[in-house]
Amino acid sequence: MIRIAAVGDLHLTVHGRGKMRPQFERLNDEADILLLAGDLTNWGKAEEAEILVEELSDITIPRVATLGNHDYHSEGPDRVRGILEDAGVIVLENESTVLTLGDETVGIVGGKGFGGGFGTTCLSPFGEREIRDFLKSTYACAEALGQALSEMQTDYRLVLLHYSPAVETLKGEPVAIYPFLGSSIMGEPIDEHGADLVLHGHAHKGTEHGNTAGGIPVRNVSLPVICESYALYQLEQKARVLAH
Amino acid sequence: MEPVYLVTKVRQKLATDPRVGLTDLLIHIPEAGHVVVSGFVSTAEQRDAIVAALQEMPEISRVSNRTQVREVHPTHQSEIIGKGKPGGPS
Repeated sequence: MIRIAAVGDLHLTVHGRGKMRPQFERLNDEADILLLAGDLTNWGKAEEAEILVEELSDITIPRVATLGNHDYHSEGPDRVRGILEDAGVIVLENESTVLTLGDETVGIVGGKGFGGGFGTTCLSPFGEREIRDFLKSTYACAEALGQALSEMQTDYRLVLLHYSPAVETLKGEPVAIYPFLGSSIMGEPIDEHGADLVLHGHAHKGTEHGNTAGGIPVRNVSLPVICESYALYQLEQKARVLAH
Repeated sequence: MEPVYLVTKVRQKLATDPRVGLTDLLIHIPEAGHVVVSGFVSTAEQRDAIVAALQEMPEISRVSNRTQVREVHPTHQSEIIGKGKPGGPS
């Protein structure tokens, strides 16, 4: 069994210094790993990222993050990523990592992902270059997910995204903006190769609980959705039962 | 200005103003020049900045700020998730 703490959409600003740290007080005792699902800063500023790592500095369990669209806004994702990595946070952008927790291994593949929509209203890479360019990062993420999951031989396999690969966890958001919140293009490789749990953020008015089209558990851990310091999940080795 | 265009301008202002930076607030224009903003913000500073930012827009004469600072509670419950088949669920 592993215990996962997860949260996204912290949107930390310069006014957030010192406010988050107390909320993580019990985290080292409650979880084996912390996953951060993007939009960790509000403007993608180095100053915000530096405050974030201060807020995370009491956490001794492994911390794994993906960036979100806000982290790309000002100084670019490389600057934010660098500050996080210097503080020991593993940052995934269409990449994977394997952690050993006790006698069990956990594989995590992650990335920001992108939009495109779902199912019958999913955008196709057709026509103008702008449309095809729009979908490029969605397909790049999907390819990375498929590649990593097909090779991952760990006890547990997790997917960490900012944008959603499943429509169910968007419920509550205006349907008109679904194409900007995620895409089933990223859900397909997850269902094809399998995973134990998918975590994402970005959809502030969405729903915590859902599944991919193929039935893999998806959790929207956006802070405005969970309204708690972080969500906690225990991933069991056996019974496929969801329980509160 | 038609309300649909003013809503767009207000949304852009609240997203890009460095004091605010919020993209998911609800905007309502009940009458010409009157903007009602609702939704959640992270800090009191952000809440106050909404009015300051919108008062800079010449199209707006009145701002009703109905936003609330979001309360984040301590985590109190863990969900148990059964492990799926290694090759996927189907």
